[in-house]
Amino acid sequence: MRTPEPVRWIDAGSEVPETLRTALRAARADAPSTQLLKRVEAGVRAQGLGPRTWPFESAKLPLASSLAFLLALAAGASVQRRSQRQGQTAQQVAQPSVQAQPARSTRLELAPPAAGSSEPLDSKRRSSAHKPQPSHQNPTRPKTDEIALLRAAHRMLAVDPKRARAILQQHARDYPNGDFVEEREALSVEALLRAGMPEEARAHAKRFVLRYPRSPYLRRVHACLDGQLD
Amino acid sequence: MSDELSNVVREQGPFVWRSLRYLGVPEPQLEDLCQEVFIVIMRRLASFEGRSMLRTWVYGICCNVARSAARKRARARERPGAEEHETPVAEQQTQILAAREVYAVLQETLLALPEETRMVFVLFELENLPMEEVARSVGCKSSTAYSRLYAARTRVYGALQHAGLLERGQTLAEVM
Repeated sequence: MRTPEPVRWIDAGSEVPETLRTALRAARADAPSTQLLKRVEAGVRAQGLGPRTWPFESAKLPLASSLAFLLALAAGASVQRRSQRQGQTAQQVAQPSVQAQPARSTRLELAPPAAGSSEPLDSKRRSSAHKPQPSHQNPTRPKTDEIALLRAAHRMLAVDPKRARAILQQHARDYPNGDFVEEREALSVEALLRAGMPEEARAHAKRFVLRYPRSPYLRRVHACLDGQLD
Repeated sequence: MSDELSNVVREQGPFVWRSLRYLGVPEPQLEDLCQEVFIVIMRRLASFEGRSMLRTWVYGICCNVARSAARKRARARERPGAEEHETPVAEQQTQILAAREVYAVLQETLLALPEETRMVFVLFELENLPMEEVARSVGCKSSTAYSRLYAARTRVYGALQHAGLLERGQTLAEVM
């Protein structure tokens, strides 16, 4: 025979004093604000975990498991960053501006030092820091080109990682201060790994971690290297 | 944007929030860990088999995330300079806090309870879960869950009496 459920203290039928019942109602009403829930939702979305992207098989494609990943980049990441710039989001999102980076990150060069990548990313950042610049190197190019490049790199990751790397390097040249630098660098880790360059991937990932200590892609970078990071 | 993710966050957010709080997550970490819970939820939602209530399943994820964070805190001790987040006391809560002192003692007493006892009380009294689901959530027999509930009630009621916060003189036995 099942034991009958006790009467909950909060229920009208219980004998507890009203003050206790009120306190229990207050405890039950404790909830995060709508704004906070929106931030949580945006943070989850920025992880590429929209409703149609799960289940997310990080072991197979840790950085870019689905096309939705890049769609999320396009749709969500820049919005996230804007809110970060406005001081609305405490963490989780990228730190795209030079001013927003930790001091040590200005010494880093995240772009792969391969042929064609003529100048370290950071020196470009430093040289451009004193004057206002549009987010794209070529202002005549629409932003979709930047997304299209990353999308192409993403498509190439599984089939031709060297080509993916080349596309990412092209992105680095064309958009050194683009809106999706952080995503490019995160994808570069996987591209290097898939191209059979684990040491370079590891070094790149380390720099990524230092440069973007609160990146929403951090977990993926770690997962990508499967614990190789220190 | 309103989709499944929005719905899940909106519907489960308050439950996740309270569960993390009563699992001992410090205030400054609540938002981050709330997000972690939903990341896990969205990754695993497809594997939810419906053998328990959704809340039981979500609560299990909260436990894992809270424990993992507790281990990290134990290793690293809070990072210096961690940002303070907004106080999450909902407006409606402040409005109904006529029994503010009782509420404070309730919180204090609950957080001082052993976790397994505290969570039985929280899931039953605050989250309205049936005792069977409470037992499943915390991983014990129903009879054990009942014992823990009574133990928690005894401690809470005793603390309130000790603080002189109960205006009338019902005994513990009368309210059990």
